Amino acid sequence: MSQTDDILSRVTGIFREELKQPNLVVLPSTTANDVEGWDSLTHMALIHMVELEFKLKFKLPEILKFKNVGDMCQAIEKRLSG
Amino acid sequence: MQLASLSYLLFLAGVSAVSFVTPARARWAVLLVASYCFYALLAPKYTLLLAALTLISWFAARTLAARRKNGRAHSWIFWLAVVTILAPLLALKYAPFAAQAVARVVPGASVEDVGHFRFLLPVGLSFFTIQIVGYLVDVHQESIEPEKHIGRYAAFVALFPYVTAGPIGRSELVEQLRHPPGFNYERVTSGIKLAAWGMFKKVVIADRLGVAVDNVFAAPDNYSGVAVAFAAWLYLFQVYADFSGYSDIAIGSARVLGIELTPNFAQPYLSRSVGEYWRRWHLSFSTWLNEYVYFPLSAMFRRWSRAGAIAALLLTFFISGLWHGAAWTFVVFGMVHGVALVGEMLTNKWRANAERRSPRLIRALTWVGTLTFLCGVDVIFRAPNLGVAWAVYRRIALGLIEDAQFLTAQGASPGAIKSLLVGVGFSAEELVLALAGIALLIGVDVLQERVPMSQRIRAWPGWARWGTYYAIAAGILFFGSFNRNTSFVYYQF
Repeated sequence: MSQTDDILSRVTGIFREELKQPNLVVLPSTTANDVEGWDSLTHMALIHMVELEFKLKFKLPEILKFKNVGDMCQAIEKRLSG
Repeated sequence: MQLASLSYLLFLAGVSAVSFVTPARARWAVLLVASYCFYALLAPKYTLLLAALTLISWFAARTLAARRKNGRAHSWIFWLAVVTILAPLLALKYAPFAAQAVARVVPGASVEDVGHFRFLLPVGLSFFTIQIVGYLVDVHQESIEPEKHIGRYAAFVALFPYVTAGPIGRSELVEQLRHPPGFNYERVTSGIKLAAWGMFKKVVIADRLGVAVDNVFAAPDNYSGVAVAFAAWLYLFQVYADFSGYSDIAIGSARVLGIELTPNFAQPYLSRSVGEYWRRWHLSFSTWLNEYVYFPLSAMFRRWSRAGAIAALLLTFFISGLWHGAAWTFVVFGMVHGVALVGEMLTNKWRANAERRSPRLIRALTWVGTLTFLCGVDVIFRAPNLGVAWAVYRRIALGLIEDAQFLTAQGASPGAIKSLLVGVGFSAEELVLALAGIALLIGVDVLQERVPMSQRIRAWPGWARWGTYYAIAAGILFFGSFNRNTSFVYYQF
């Protein structure tokens, strides 16, 4: 499994657990509009869980640029390989 | 000079004519001079303040971008600039309020002691202050490059269609000021039509409704429960016709000059939740709050998960309330909206399930419920203080019981119902006009929800199109309420 796939798989696990949807399919193109329960109340909680999982901390401008799950995964990959 | 006045129309025509004959590269100068003349006519003493805030923010944005480029510390410049820009607003708008609040709790101090803190709040200060703060945040977060040209930046801050009450200019607007387009028949006529519709909403609908609202809110105890509830309901539409009317005039005027502003309303009274309402009402402000207050706060509080998001939301609505005015009414107004929104977010799943089971019923109930909520909370927004708001609520509750007893005894004849509305300030004809105005306001929104009205009207035959334009013009001339000296509701903020 490539690092990109591994990141997406771990992010999917967090989304499933946090949103209590065990069968949720998360793709790089997934946005908040595509997932029930992913709203402004859960958005930052999801980001925080991702930060804990990958032991990193995003900066606010970075978070602002996340338009979908793929953007977040790219930012994680950049940090992990950086 | 009010936006809904003949003098403003003449001013706009003059500025447009000069702008169109000026070369594109120099049009910003025409807009800048016109905007400063416009502001100087409204608030001559504070024109220097507008210029000073413009200069400080322009210099700060350029400096922090230059330092960042050279790898030098720059965040402190951003924070220093934000504090400096906010200082006049905090001092002029909030210091008296804060001092009075302190005086109430500090033994020995009296509220009168802080009376000398009272200043006249410069018109538009709340609007252009947060516009500048938004610009500084965008430069700090590298969302935009700082504008190099001080003249174009100054025109962006002070542009006369929006300097007094928005729509709050987005940073991207600076780009449009580089080469504002010249005369274009389609664009200019589209701007004039929008401004005319805005004028119609202000002088024909809002100001007409305002007569009854003003009378009842001045002395709610003098009226029947039906009359007070009716006035509260009228205010819901007055404030919408007033502010969306102002916004249409501002957006239409800017369009005439070749500047496209973001829309400020998207049929807010068709909302079926408070959350949806805030995605449709005063969009330039709610977007600003979301991007520059809620989002950073929720990011800051993210370690507390949902509790952090709730705290960020409540704080955002507290700030939203305070932004509207330094008074407890606005604080309560903001907090009630915040609490309602939190309630909606926590029951999202449950409400979605209920709607799936019986969509029509739930949609109707949530629409009526949202409008009733807004009507109730707008009482606090309209009342000069919490005492008057309480008097209005009390009068509605007790008065409606009395009215029900009266109607039971007298029979619910038209004459008996009419007697309950005595003194509100409407003759039978004015009442019909007011209700027709509300029906028109909401009817247009219902049509607009699917296809923009401008697009619909373009598809009509010539006689219907021109008939509509003449009807709007005639409505303004013959039914406009020009006798009352009323400014726009949002001017006070």
